[in-house]
Amino acid sequence: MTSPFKTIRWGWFLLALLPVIVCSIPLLFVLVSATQIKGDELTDSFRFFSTGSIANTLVLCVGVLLLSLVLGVGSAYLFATYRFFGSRFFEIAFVLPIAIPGYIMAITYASFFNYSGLFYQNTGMYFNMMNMWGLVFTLALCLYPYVFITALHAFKLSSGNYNESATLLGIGRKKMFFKIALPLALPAIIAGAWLVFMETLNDFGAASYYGIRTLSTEIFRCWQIGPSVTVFLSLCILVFIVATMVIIQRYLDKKGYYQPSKSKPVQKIKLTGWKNLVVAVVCFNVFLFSFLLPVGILIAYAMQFGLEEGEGVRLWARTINSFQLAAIAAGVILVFCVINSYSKVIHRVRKTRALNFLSDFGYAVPGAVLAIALLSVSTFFDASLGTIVTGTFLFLIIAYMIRFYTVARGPVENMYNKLPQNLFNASASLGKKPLGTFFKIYLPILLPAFGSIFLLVFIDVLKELPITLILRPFNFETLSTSVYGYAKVNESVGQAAPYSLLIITLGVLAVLMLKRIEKKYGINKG
Amino acid sequence: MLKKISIVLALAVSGCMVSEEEKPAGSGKKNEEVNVYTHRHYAVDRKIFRQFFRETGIYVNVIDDDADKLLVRLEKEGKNSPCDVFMTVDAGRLVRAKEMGLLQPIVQEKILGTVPANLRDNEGYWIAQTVRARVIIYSKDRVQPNQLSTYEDLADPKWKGKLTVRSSDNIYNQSLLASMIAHNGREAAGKWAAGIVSNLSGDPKGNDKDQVKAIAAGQADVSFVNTYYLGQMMESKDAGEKDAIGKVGVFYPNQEGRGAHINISGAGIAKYAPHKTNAEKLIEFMLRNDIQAMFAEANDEFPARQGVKVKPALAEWASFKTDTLDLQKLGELNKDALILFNNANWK
Repeated sequence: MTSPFKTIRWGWFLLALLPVIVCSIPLLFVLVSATQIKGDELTDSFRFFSTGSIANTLVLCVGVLLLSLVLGVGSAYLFATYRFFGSRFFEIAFVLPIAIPGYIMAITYASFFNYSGLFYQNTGMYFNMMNMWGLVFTLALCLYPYVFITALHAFKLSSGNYNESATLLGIGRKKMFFKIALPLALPAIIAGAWLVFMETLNDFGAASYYGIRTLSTEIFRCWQIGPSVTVFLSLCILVFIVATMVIIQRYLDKKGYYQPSKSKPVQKIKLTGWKNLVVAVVCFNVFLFSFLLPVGILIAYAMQFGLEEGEGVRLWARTINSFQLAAIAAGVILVFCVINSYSKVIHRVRKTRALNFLSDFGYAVPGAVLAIALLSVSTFFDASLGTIVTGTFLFLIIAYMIRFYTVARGPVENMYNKLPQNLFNASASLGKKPLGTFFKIYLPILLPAFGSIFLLVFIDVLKELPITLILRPFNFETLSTSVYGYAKVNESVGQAAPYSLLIITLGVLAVLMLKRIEKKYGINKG
Repeated sequence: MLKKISIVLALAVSGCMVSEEEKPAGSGKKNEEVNVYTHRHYAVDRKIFRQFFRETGIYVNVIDDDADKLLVRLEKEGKNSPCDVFMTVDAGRLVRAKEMGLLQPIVQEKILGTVPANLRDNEGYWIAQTVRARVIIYSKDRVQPNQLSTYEDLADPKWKGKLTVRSSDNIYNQSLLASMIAHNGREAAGKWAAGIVSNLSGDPKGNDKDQVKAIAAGQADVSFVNTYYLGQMMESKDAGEKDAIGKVGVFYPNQEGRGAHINISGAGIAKYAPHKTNAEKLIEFMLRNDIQAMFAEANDEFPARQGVKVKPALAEWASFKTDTLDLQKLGELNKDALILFNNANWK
């Protein structure tokens, strides 16, 4: 009799393969296009290419990463270890900026500090936001929550046992952070930082508005000359990502990290006196600049501009559109991701790094470039299938999957990996089929975690712009396409304000729901 | 809790779509609609499309996005493209669309005859709807209008540290430089771009309105912007914007010579348009006297059609001399402009 553990379950295997195939489309596109690069077009186009963009991209990535790490890791450790005035509130508040899209953060800050903005109008002081530092600042403010979320979870998990032992051994708090807490949380922090890195790499809107040339903006600009440079630069990005990923993995392997398991809850240290005050004030300032201020500016704009005739209906319709689209897309992505990861459990494959970068690539290239790659694919189907898929909801959802699969993949795999393989083996030896095991055992345990991952993807789809713009059906407007229209084409942050606020509101609701789930079920996306 | 959430989610997802615009049943039938790819994300366009529907029963379906992306979509879709009308805000891109073989000529004289020859393709592949001028703006406090004369003059060292411009990625700047190449030759245009760069007070950034604000804030003294943005700022609900526009003067350059640089917003019929007749009707409609007036009234653009009555502020601007350069040149010279910008290190 064959062992129940060794067979390949083809149904599961093929289902699991599907997202991998779909997600590798942009990569295949780039590779196929690479064979068509015309040498003379390339040399010709490099006369337009701004080499400074490479340095700019590096500075931007390093800057945003550093600031995100300081804000995200610092605050996460603080909340995991100490109790102080408002700490429970800030723990939620620090996640909220994730609801603000980078381009909205950038234009909001720029408009606040320019001549017509509230700051200048009230103080007479001119403050130039639109430079590299302004860009680093605004992007880091809305990206640091990605680090914060993962780091907080890791610190909470690891701190209990180790802190106690370390304290007994007489280790100081500073040493404890650098020697124990930080190394233990490093894989989780890197996972968060990876998302920040890729988000920074693919930012187009904020950088181009601030007049900073990055690989992203250059890819788009050189495209006016011909596709060769765009393809070439996409390849560069690909190499850049793979190299970074390899370096990180090597490092982690060498250090031999493992997933800390759940330990007993930490006894948080209560801060008192001036320390309590200083920490609370610092936290408030981070919250102020990353959320309260931009939202406040947008509210002020929305009130100043008011609503035009019939705009209420428009706002409502587009909110519904955005919500439905994001919810459906997040649901589809999650389902495929869950199947894919479960298939790995069934086949007892724990690590599939080689395949991971397939989906990461879709996340790291600029959205506009990905949109073009997808257009090539959809129009290919149009021509060969005889039915039009370009501009349908179905293809739009597939496009989102390619874009955001990475966001769900990491956390979902992590959740599975936390459960012992024996769980599956035991169920299998008791005669349960994989599907039964999934519904009877895995799903009940992991459902809350899936819920919170769903919400993360939901927020990302909500904020997405370039793909939505070009691949949506006729007459279909979402909140983010509206923001694009008003802020970019009409150059009016004021008219875009109500739409921006609604994106943020939906995102904030998702975050609050996520926090609720975490609190109730004591889980996180680690 | 989770159950509740899922129920709410399920309800919301399955909830019926809310329609934001009137679209009666049966409008999905062929020959009762027309599909538009447009760069123009303007409220007035939607209003005009609605009026077109009310008058003709032809519903206008719209996708708006960046023109360059829309061109790629058109190209990739090929024969399967649902697009009937391509609309964008720069002659250079319309020329590009023609060169890429994505358009078909408009043959009806009643459409072509409504606008002057320099505002349409000589073979009828595209036609202007509205006109916009790229004019000089200056700080009323620090610059006297008599110090200004031409675009060329702004490259003079006397303006060192006094200029602000937006990025050369912007198509309006590309077309301005293309017009300089057409009039003064490649070498002179290159020198001009370099001269502008050496006169800048800071790196190119922001959009047209940001240039106005930079001057109002004293960051620079002179710049160039498109006229309709000035009009929009004058009528803005934002007090700060109104204040900013109050601090700058508008100057129509090159009045002694060729006139101020103009560009157009225009339309062409897609090569494989499934609703060609409707496309022609829509373009003809947009060039009608009263519709042209709507563009001008709501968006502060100049009508492409001659003799349309516009509001006083626009009428005053419209009285200035404008460049009659064949706008086809803007497209043909676009690549040269990009090279010159790059050589001049105009970011």
